[in-house]
Amino acid sequence: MLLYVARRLLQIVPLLLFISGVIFLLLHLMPGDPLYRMLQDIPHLRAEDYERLRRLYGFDDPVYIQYGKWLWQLIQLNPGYSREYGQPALDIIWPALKNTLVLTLMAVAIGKSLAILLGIFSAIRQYSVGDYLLTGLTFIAYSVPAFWLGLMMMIVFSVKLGWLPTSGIVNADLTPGTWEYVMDWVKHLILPVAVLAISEIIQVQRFMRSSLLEVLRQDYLTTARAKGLSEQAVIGKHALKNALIPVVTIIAVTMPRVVGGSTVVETVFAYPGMGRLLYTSIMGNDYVVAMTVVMIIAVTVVFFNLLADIIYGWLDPRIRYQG
Amino acid sequence: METAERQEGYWSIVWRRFKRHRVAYVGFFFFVFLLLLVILGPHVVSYQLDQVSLGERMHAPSTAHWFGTDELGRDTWVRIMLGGRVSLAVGLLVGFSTVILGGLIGILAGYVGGAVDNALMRVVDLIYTIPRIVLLLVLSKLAGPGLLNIIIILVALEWTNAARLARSAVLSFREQEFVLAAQCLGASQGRVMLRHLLPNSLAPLIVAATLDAGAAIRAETTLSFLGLGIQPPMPSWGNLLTHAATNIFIAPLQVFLPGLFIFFALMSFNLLGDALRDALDPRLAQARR
Repeated sequence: MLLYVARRLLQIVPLLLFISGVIFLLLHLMPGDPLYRMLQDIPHLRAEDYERLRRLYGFDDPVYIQYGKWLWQLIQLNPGYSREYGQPALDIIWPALKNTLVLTLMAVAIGKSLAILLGIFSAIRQYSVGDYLLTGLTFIAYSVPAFWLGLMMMIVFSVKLGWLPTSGIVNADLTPGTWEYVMDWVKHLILPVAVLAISEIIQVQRFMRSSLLEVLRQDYLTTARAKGLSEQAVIGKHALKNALIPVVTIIAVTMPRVVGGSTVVETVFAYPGMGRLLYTSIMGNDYVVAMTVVMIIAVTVVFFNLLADIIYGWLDPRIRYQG
Repeated sequence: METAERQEGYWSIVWRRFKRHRVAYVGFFFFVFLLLLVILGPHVVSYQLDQVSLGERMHAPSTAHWFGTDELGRDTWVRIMLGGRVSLAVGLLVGFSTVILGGLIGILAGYVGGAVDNALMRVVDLIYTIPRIVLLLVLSKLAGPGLLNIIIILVALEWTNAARLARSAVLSFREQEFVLAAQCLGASQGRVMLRHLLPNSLAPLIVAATLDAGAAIRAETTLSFLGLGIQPPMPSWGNLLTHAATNIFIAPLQVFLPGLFIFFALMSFNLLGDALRDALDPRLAQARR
């Protein structure tokens, strides 16, 4: 097992180099001048100053040299400056990461736990009215694009009912720490959390249902019933433990979204998180920020994939890894 | 004496099962209805795509403008129908191309095996490894807006699914007698792949095509909504929503309608995919229940 983990960890390094290399190359093939913002801000910049700046930032170097320099900086945990904001990239990313974590952790906690409960209900009451209703609803909801769902909720709760704000994170004129501030912050979170939680439910509910149905067919459950255990104990103690194994892995695999956020939902609700930052930094040729965000997402993806495999082997002793 | 009953062919069994499937009818009806609507819809009214009428900005639906008008007084019915042509075309073309490209690559990998298989499957793995949203954003910014560009990007990212399905199908019957028979009769590798392996791996590929088409429409409308993908003046269900969303307090119906059509399209492809999966592979259908 330890050997397996060590081998997988070693594989991560070339994988991350590959991902960063591809994205770095693609970003540098893009049209648009990274110095454009600076030219706008300083209109009296002369042509020779411009050339000097290009040399200073190394934009005239071949791409692989630029990549090497970037990589060396990243290893020293200093990804560089955002050209869009003129601040260290980490100072831009940190608040966005905090915002996204608040949003996605709430959505995941609500969405995944509801999904597991609903999945268990559907499996125990297979072919009941409730099961059909849930299966039908998740099928319909699966065909609803997330950005439209967000806009529809906005129409109902903001436009028609006027209960909730449409966008942003908190009203600027409120002072932090007051009760009004917290309430306003919560109100801003409700709609985006709801949209993200619904998409979590759609993905996990079906999975939980089919996983539990699979287990319910097993012989050892008949044994448990034959021993005279109550139905509650059979399901809760014997069936659920095994049915949750694949669900836990799915949850681990989808966890990187917690860090990366959702570009679509954050854009619809103008929520300043990682997904939106990824979008705006790519659109604005802010390479340093874009690359750092990409790397943060890539590292979490790779890490959680490994974690999922380890958890799977740990929970299910039938699976053995070879070193 | 001749037997009265002819052996029923595979496709006629599939067709019979498909017809029995109620869900299939709903999905198929939805799809044909949408297709006819976007083809005929614009001709029913006399407005043009970019016919601006500043006196009628963001009007509610009326007998003159069935779906109302947008922020420049353009007729929303015409815009949604023409946008639908674009969005549906993207879906159909991408679904079709991913399956042809991915199917051929998967059959090649599965049949030839060895180093070719290894190399092709590594490419598939690597495409899966890079976060999808990052690739979509970077590639569509790089390629620039345009119908052809978005189709190429989506095909380049989505063919992997069909390739995996075709490869595993081929692996499951590569060693069977009919392949050996064809080889013994002197069929070339290409002929074995195209005449014997391809028809036998069609079932999962057809399902994949339907689901890929839905996924492509979802991706295109999302990208177009974000301002990438299809861009004005060409309409798409996605970019119609972008401007409507800024006026959500004045004309919420203009936000509701384009999205409703995206929902119908995704729904019809998903229903069709589900029904086709049941019709083509009854074992799979039973296992899922």
